[in-house]
Amino acid sequence: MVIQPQFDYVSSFSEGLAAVAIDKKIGYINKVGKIVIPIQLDRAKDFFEGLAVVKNSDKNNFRFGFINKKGEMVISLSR
Amino acid sequence: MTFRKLGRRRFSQLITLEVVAAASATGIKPLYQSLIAATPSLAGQNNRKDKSIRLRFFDAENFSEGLAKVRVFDEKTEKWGYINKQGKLVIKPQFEIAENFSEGLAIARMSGGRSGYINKSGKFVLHFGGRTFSEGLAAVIDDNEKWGFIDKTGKFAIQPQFEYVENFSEGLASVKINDKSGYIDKTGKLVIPAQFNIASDFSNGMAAVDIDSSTTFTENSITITLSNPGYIDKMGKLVIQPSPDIRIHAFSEGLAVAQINGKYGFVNKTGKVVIPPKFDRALDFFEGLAAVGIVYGSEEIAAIEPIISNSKFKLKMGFDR
Repeated sequence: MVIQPQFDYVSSFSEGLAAVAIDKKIGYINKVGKIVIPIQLDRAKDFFEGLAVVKNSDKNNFRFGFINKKGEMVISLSR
Repeated sequence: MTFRKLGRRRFSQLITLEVVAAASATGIKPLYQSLIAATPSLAGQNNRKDKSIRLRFFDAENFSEGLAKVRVFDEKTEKWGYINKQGKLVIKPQFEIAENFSEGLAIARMSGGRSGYINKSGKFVLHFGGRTFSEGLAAVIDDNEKWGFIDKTGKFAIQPQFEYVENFSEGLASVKINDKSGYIDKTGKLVIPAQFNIASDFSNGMAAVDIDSSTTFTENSITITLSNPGYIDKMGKLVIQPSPDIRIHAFSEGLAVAQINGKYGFVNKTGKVVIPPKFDRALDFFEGLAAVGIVYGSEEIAAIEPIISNSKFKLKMGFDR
C-alpha cells in the first residue's frame, strides 16, 4: 500500500491529484499522499485540463466554481 | 477521462454502482456525480435588482477541449451552455441536454426539437441522434432504428445496419447482429464474428465477452449481467477463460480489478492474479495507482451491501501500486 487507507472515500487519480473525503468533507491529495488542497469542500470532482468543479458552503458563504491545482478558485460561478 | 471511461461499460458498471453506493453511505455524494443544483434558494434570488445577475449557475461539468458545460437558471428556465477557461459564457445556455465536447463536437438538444451535434460556436452542424465522437466516428441511429457510424462531415462511414453498437475503441466497435455481438473495424468489416451475448469495448487490447447464456437485467437503463465474462484479444482469441470463481472488470494500465470470493485484487492480461484479493473495494488503475478500500470493524462481512447500509462499519480507502 503506497498511501495508507485513511479516507472515507477516494476518487481515482486524474492529472496527478485524487479527491479524498473524510467526515463528509473533500480535498485533494498528490501521489505521495500529501494533502495539497485542504479537506473542507462539500463537493469536488476530478481535475480535467487543470481545473476541477467544487462547491463549498458554510452559513453565510457559498462558493461554487472551478479551482486550479493550488486550490484557488479561478472561475467563480456563485458570484 | 471522458475517453478513458468509454471503455468501461457494462461489466465495470457493477463495481461503479458499488462505489456510488459506498459513497452515499458515508453521506457524501459520489464525487463524479453531477453537482446537484446548488442551494435552490439561490435560484431567482435578486432577480429584481440587476439584469446582469439574473443568470444563476446551477451545475457544471469538467472542462473538455477547453469548454465546460454549465447549467444556468435564467428567470424560469434552466438551460445548459458552455463556458471557456476565462469563465466567459461562449455558447449561450439554450440546451435541454448537452454533452462534453469530444473531437470538436458535442451532442446537444434544444427543448422542443432540434438535436444533433454542435460545433464550438454552438451551431448545429450534424443532425443525427447518436453518441459522442470517438476515434473519428460517431455511432448514430437512423429512422429504422438501425445503428451505423458517421464521420465528422456527416457522411455515413458505415451504413446503418446493426441492432446495436458501441463506440469505436482501439480501432474496433462492438456490434449486434441477430441478437449476437461481434466486432467491426473502421471499414465496417466484421473482423470478430457475432457470437457473443455481450461484447464490451476493447481496453488495453482486451475485451470482456459473454459466451454462455447469462442472466441480464436492466435497471435504470443500465444493463447488468450476472455472468462471468471471458476476455478476448483483438484477434478474437479467448485469452482468459470465464471462471465462476473470479469476476474480472475492464483492463486499465495492464491490470484489471478481479473479484475473488468477495474480495478484490488485480489480474494481468493472462488472467494471473498479481495483486492478491485483500481489498473490500477496488477501482481501476489510473496514473499508476489504484484506489482500494478496506473495511474495518467486523470480520463477519461477506457482502458489500451490509457495509453500505450499516454505518458502524467503516470503509477506509488508500492507494496501492
